[in-house]
Amino acid sequence: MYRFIEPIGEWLLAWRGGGRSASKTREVDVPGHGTLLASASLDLTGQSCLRTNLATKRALDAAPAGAVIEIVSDNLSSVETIPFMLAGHGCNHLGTVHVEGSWRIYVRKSGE
Amino acid sequence: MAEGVIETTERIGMATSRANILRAAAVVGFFLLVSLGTYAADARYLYFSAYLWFGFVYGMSLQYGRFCMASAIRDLFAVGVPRMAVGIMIAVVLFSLVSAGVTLTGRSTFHASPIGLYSVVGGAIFGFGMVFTGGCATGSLYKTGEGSVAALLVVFSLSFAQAIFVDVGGVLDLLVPASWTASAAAKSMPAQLTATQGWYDQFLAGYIWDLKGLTVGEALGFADPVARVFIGNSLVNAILPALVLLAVIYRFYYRKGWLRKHADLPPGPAREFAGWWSMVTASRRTAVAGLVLGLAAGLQMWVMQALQQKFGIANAGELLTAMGITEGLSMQDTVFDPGYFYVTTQEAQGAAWVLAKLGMNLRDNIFFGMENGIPAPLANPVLWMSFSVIGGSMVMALLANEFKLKFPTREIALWAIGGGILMGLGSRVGLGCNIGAFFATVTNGDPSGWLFAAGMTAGGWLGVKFFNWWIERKMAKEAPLGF
Repeated sequence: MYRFIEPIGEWLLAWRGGGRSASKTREVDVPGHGTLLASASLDLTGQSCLRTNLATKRALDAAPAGAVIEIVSDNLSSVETIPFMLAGHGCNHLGTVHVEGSWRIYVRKSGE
Repeated sequence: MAEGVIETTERIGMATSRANILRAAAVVGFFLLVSLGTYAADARYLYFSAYLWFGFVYGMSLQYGRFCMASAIRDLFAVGVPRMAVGIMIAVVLFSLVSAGVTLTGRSTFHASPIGLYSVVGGAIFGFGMVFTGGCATGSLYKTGEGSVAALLVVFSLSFAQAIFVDVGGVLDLLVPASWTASAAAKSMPAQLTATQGWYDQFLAGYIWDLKGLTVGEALGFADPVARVFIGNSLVNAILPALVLLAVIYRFYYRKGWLRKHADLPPGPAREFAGWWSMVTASRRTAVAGLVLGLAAGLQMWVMQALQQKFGIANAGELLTAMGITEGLSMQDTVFDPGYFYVTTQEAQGAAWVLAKLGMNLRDNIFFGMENGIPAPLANPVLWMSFSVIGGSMVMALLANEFKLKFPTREIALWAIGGGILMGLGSRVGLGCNIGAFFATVTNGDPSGWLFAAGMTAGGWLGVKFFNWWIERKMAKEAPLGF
């Protein structure tokens, strides 16, 4: 079955790779907060809601106190859900920005 | 924005482009053209257009609220966020009140489903599949309108899985209990049907038809119609269970976080109510969508019944016959025509129509041949509603600059197809999906909807556990985060 589906998929769809990509420290502009140094940027563009939410949860748990994290997603359901996840992981929502078809969610781990 | 304040996508976003406004206008124009053009050709197409425009409103509301039952279960179990579950309960309360009023006027199109274990089993299969697809039946429709090709794959796989499942026999017949076969054989069935062959035929004729269904209002024996619909159907079957579920969700998924932020408030019922209310109103989008869906779904029942009275029909099949369209009707000259918000059956009909064009005989089973028919898509009023859910969502997404054509990765596509097949099977076993077997039933006093919801929740929980394991396994192989 898989051998049959794969070539069709390769031909029909411009399929991208399946994993999330994480980049290290970079400067980000967060409205109302100015330029901040994000400890990690998690690019979850193209991912399903559940994968986006679980990858975010994993990152929030792993982040040290004070770290700023940027989560990039084009999954509207997840973009709506993620801010509500933050309190349970000792994080604060700094803001969400809509840029070129994706949403960038900025989070600070408070360590509470 | 102050640190710690939850602000989602409300009031955030780039202004939409002129091109998007024109695209949205084109979509609205297309549906207007369909409505006006068909009405000009034959006034009876008004019945089709009623389905169409209610579907359009549903699509807009679903997209605005990011309203998805898959997300309700998944977010609760996977990440402890009750946003969507709360929105659904709001919609249930509103829809039940409007439905009660509509029932009281004698203009309800609702019929209670049989009560049985099948609802739990169907719900469980549906809920398990739903977690993998990333959207419920309606969620997949509105996400298709947002430009998600993965959601479109779900719609296709769900539709074709149903169409094939209701017709196949072979090895599946080995799973049919002898009592079903005997019961099906004892019923006098039309000669064109093979009711003792095929799993689904025997499931319907040998099991489902032997079950009884009734509303809570009827079960409680209220003689007064007002008490029957408002106390029995609405209060007892919908509002009280919804309030209990909201209290449970508050206690286990919201209270701790809220109290941490409001430790200064004195303990007591007032504090608990304030926390509960904060949960209910936390996501404005979801709450607004729940309100609109609840009101529109109730209103649709009233409108469809009023149109049935206007045209002197009890089923759209009579309308089609009068219009000279007889191809695709069931052997009872009917077609699927619930008269309220429903998905999955009409999509199965669409898939069956395609398969029939390819040469498959799908009319020798009860589901299509005897009950629902296989009308062409343009002669299927309920399918018009599914198309317009996609259209309504597309318009909303374009106006909010949220439309984006998204192709899935290979992995997501396979999950979408596999999950969609499970959703298709679950919706047939459960006699509906998250809308037809849950939302429209519990709000009309039918307790079978809660059985479906229990199964859907259990299946969803299991799906989240499995998917969590799968994702953890995948992510463990990926590059570590930069902490």
